[in-house]
Amino acid sequence: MAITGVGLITALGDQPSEVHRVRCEGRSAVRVLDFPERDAKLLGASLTDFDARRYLGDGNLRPLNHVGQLAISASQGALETAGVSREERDVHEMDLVLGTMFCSAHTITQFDRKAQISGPKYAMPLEFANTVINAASGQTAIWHNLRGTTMTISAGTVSGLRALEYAARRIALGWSDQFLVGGVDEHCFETSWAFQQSGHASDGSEEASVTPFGTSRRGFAPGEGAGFLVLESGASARRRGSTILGTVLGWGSGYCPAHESETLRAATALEAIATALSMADCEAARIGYLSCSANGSIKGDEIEARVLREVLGDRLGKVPVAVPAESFGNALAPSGIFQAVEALETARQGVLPPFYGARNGNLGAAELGLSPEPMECAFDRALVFSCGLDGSVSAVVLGINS
Amino acid sequence: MQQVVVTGLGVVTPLGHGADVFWPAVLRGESAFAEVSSFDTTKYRIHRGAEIATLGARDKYLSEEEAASMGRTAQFALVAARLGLRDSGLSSLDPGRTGVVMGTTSGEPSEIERFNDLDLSGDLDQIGGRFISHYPCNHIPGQLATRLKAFGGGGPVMLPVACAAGNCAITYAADLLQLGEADVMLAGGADSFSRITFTGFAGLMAIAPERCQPFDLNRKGMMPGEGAAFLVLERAEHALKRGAKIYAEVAGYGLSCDAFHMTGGDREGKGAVRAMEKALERSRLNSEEIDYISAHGTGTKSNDLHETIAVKKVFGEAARKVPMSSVKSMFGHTMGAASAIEAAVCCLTIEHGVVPPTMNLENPDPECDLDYVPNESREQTVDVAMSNAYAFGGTNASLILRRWLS
Amino acid sequence: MKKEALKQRIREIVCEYGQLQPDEVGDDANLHTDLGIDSLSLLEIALRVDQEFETDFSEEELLKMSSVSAAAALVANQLAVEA
Repeated sequence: MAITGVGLITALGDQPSEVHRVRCEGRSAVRVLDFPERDAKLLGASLTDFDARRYLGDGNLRPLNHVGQLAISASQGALETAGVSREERDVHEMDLVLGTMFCSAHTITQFDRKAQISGPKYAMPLEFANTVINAASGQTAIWHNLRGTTMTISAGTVSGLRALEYAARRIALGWSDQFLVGGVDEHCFETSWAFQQSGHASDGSEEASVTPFGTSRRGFAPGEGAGFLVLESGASARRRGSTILGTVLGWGSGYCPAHESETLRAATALEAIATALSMADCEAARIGYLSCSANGSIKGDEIEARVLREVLGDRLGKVPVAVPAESFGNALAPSGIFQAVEALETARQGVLPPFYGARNGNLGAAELGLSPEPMECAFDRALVFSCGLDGSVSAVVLGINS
Repeated sequence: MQQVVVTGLGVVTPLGHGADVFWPAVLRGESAFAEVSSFDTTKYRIHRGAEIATLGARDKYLSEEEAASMGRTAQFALVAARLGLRDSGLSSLDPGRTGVVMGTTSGEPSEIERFNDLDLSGDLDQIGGRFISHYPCNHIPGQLATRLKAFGGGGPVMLPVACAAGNCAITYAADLLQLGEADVMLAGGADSFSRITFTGFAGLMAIAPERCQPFDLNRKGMMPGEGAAFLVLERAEHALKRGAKIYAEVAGYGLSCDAFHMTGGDREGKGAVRAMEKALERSRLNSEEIDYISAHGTGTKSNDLHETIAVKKVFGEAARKVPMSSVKSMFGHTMGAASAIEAAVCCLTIEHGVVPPTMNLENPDPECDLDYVPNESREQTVDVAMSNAYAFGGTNASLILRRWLS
Repeated sequence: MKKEALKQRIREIVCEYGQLQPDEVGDDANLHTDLGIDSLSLLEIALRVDQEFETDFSEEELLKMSSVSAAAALVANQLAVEA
């Protein structure tokens, strides 16, 4: 089935080509964020100048919280690039599936906080509506008049890829021929603080402490954003004369509790990858590009390194491997969508963004053969995978149109 | 398309845990409404709901360690899942071929409350690792998968689709079974009472002061509840091969979205109509073939009216003949657990040939003039039951369960 | 606070929540039927007015704020301001 539309709101930009250029320049959105009212400084990769009005015009943004605005803005881009007009959606029901890890953690925390401080009477009704975990998908459906299936999927950081899997499965079963698929999560003090306190996020005390695969890595930097795709059945894409940006050929996912060993967790990831490859009727040797979600996580990166070594074998160092979280931080649910979009853009541009962490003489990266400079590449089968911090894993095989 | 059947039910509800306790209570029309005890409601205008006071004898389905380390919603979910598995007769599970999918509205809101309680007392540096491990809502199905050893179907997943969550989980499970990605799926929903949800619905002025009176002229709103339910689903051939008892077949379902308003439904019930019509179409049934409707029936002025309008549009004249009741009249709105509990109710109506009542229906509303099975359960053969659920955010989900005929 | 100033402030709140311009919001225009403000936003407007003026209205009183004039009258009455 075909990917015919892409929409992004990321800390590196909102156009796939622009994001790719920034990545090729070796730039990262990770920086120290100041929370003066909290007397806290936390590493993160939040958006700097997001203004929903740029994407949504003068409509009423009042009922929308930040995460809702992210989702609506990015899905707008996907619908536009896929050429699915408002008129079409008024006639033909469109389906939506949104992956999110937290959705509105900030909104729900603030809602409860205000009620605790001022009393429950002053809890605002529309704010409550935005506290539910399916708020962003509801707001997206309202804004874009999406009247088919509206699903929200939560599977931690792999939620975006699980959403893609859900849509692909529905299309494969013949229940749908066109799906808007996305992932969204926002950056906020609450979750950033909690990530750091739990040891998952780096405190940034050393320069290389958020380097994926780095020997001195201490955790990730939480990010945010929204990424959407329009996924269509082949028949629908042909009927509409859509431009096919790529195809979803296979998928697989799994779960191994987070506390289990790296060995067991890597094995679960490899099983999911094997399922995806089998469905895609594609041998591992045919894969010409990999994208992983390594982000500086102490245990997570070790698991993903083992997966890369196992999948590539002696092709390690010869096959392009992308590590987008180096620039995005851990954007949570939308990460997988960012990974997929980058795979397609990389194929289109023929250039793999560099892994600049490799310039630090970082042992981990050198072993994995990651290139410190942009690298020319050409491929027609991409494998995108992600090992979530909760133990969920997800893999997708994409076909690149030549 | 492979047939998918229900082979086990497990419920944790304000009216009791396990179908053997819950079902008779429902048929007797018992009420679970009482003064809220889990937090201070002095500052609210309303003070009642349907809380689960204790797991009672069913606490043996939870180990001490689980009771100590798991959140409330997760505990309800785990007990309901274990009850369902016991009911199904499955003695051992193949970890790679058994999966867990469920729904919720708020997940584990106590973790948000804990964050704020620590914050407001200046102790936020004591948050530790629990927020990140326990708050992301897929932690709950993850706990079930880990403790039941059910990692199949692509791994545990949460569909936080609020009040329609249980129905959505069942549709997700059916998809996986039909594609052969799992052999057994646990599909359900769970939510627990919280000051956040209570505050939210109180702020919407949606909570009734005394009890829930769906379709009644003087209905004043919903009553918040809590609980969990899980159905065990398999492909028919898999169930038959092991000689399983089959409650019903998942005949079909329909999903739609109002795309209208976050908390209020579209006045003409167009989204609800489409969900019901899709469910009928996919089940290859006419509306006359529906013997019972489990209504969403929250007890709010608007839901009950719009739901009635929608049913009339779909069923036409048959709307007056098909009994439609709301079990929320007895134990309130259990949020993400609601449609999972109601799917179990539909299975039980098919098995026992009795339909549950809508309690507290004392003054008929001229605009709600269908047969809501007022105040007394009724013996009636039910071969096909429809269950409707309508969520915040506008998602509508209709599920049709049919007596299994070999 | 004088009643005119009261109405002005309430009008500002209505404009913010209802996404309207001040000249669209007449003193006696019905917020719901004339100005198309939905019921939840009406409730938010009433709560915001209540919070700002510290009037501590009951639910019934909150639901009576059907226009700028009606809301101002309720607030004025509660605070016993000069007309």
